[in-house]
Amino acid sequence: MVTTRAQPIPVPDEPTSVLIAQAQSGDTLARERLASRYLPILRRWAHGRMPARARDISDTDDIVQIALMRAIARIDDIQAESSGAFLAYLRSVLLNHIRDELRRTQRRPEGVELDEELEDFNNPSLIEEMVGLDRLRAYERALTTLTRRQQEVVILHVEFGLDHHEIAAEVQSTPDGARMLLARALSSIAREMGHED
Amino acid sequence: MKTDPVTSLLEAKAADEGPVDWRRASDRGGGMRELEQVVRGFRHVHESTRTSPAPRPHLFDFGHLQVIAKIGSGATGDVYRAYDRNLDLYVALKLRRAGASAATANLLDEARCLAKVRQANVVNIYGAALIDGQIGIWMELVRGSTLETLLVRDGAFDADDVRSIGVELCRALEAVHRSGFVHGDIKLQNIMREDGGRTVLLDFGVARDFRRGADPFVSGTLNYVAPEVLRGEAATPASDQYSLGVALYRLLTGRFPHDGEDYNGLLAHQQKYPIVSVSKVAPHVPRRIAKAIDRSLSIDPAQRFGSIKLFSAQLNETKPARAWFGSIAGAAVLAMAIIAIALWQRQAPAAWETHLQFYRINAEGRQPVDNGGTLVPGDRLVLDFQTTKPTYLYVLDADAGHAAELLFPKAEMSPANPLDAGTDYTVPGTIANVAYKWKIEKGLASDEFVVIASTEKLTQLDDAASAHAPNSVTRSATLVPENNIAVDRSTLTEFLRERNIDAASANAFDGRLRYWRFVFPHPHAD
Repeated sequence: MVTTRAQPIPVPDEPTSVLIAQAQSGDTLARERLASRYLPILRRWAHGRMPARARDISDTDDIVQIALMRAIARIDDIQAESSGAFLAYLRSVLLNHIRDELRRTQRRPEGVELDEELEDFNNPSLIEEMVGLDRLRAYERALTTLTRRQQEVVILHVEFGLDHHEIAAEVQSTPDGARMLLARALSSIAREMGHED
Repeated sequence: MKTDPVTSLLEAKAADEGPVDWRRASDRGGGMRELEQVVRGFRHVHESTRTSPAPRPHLFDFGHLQVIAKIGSGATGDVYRAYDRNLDLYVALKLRRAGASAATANLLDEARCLAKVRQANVVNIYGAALIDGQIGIWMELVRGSTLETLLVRDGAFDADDVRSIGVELCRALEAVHRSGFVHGDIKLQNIMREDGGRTVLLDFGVARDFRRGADPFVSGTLNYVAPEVLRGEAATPASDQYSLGVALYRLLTGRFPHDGEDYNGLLAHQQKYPIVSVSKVAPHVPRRIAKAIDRSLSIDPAQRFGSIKLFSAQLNETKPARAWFGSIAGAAVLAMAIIAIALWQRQAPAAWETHLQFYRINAEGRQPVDNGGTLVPGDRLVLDFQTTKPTYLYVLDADAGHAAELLFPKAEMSPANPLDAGTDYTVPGTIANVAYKWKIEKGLASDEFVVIASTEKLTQLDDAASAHAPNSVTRSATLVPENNIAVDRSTLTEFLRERNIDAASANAFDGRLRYWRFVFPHPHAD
């Protein structure tokens, strides 16, 4: 089980691909390093994706830890060329896990309902409240039309808040290359979203 | 390689070299605005998870909202500035004591409408609740000024500004109408220009589901209300178009096209006097924009644009007016043509207008593709279609063995025939909100498509479709040709000719049928 330690694990600057390779060869420490590297990022991301009733910090932490643990347990099947790809993979695992969890714990929301048509308002996630469910779905549909590498950089920038320098490190590119890749990916996804109007 | 200007703007964003001019970017399509909303949302959530909200002095609590100050008061309730502790942001809260009154129903209608309409130029709703006998809906607090305030302060707007505002509002109204609602109270006081330049449509307090039929009360604001609504007819997308036309007319000229001291006076003015054309009041306005606004203000709704999308297309036409004037002779011919069109528009019954466009979707995005355009195996294809009359649409293609296949309509998919007037459709459509596309497969030298639109049901095609309808449609991201319905083993041309449908015989349908044939070659086909 992935545990939160009293002392943070020192994280050397090994590329994620090296850590993944080490973890795949059975290095337990590499697995823990992967977990500690990504846990805070995923926790912040998951906070926006959790519905109001499960937005309690401990709920979010539990779900993120369980999902991360599962993803790392299946690390032998992962072919991540870069840490960006690994993070996109973790996002996908976590998103599915959150949806499974919500389906499993589906119950009537607390509070007074106005009527069924407004029921969706009772339990949106933060990001659904901010962006709107339909628009978020349109974004996610448009995301699937991008190339895998474009998807990675859009997710890193839009959802994880990384700038082009950080993205360059994640996808093993130069800052200029990351900037261009991101610009084209954003342009493509915007065009695709525009055509869903 | 020449860089796309929108990509350049986004490059600046990606490099954090400054804010993106979303207004310029959004001229290229509503997707930029939509993406902006998504980016803003995620950014806000990131920031809110890094800091814990501090307590604020406030008047009272409404659920998790801290109500800070009253910022407005009106017939539909009081409006407060409030702080949303969950979202860590300031919101606008509309409050009304719950009861059986029409105003309570209005607030609920407003919440329902806004819940269904999510578009970048429509104010975002965040929630609704009934707490301690009070109904509240809270939404985005837009920081900026209403267009009415700006008009009074700065005078008439320039034409390019009005064009941009008009296009953004058309996008907003498209989304509203697509959800089955009419806004019902388009006016400059209900339109904000946000500090960042975004145009935002507010106040859906009298929004109605227009499919329910007539409302016994005339709603809207004097001088903005369409004549048919004043006469007691139901508000429709066409009446919203009229009100938008009034707003744009007023922005350009500083005056209303029709003035009245009350509803009866306004109705009398509308019936008695034609509007003074925008081009006469404001000769500097490009002719195309002036004509578009004039047409939106037609007394007869049938003479307005068939849909808000067509209005938007006319406003957004960027062809410069001077390009029309190549010579004196050319100008004379043009003038005659304009007069002829004007006379035809005045005399002809509401015309059936259709617009269709295929789009190729691949890693480069979504690009229009016309007859003769190339497709590559792996490309996805969709067809956008709009009509001004209820229309039965059929899309067929020829498979690898040249047999005819019916691609649209398909059982279990949405939309289904007949397609409504004034709505933007993309086919093949969706199943359970998952959008499907046609996938271009290997092994063909070209793809041949025939698109048929008819104002009447073509039983000879429907029968063929139903005889071969599949029991279910596979749920996947795409529909590959082998999953489509082989309606006949004869060739596409033979299949249609046997049913008395082809380009030549389309005339025999007395204008009730339209026929288009598209051939898309595959370069480097095996």
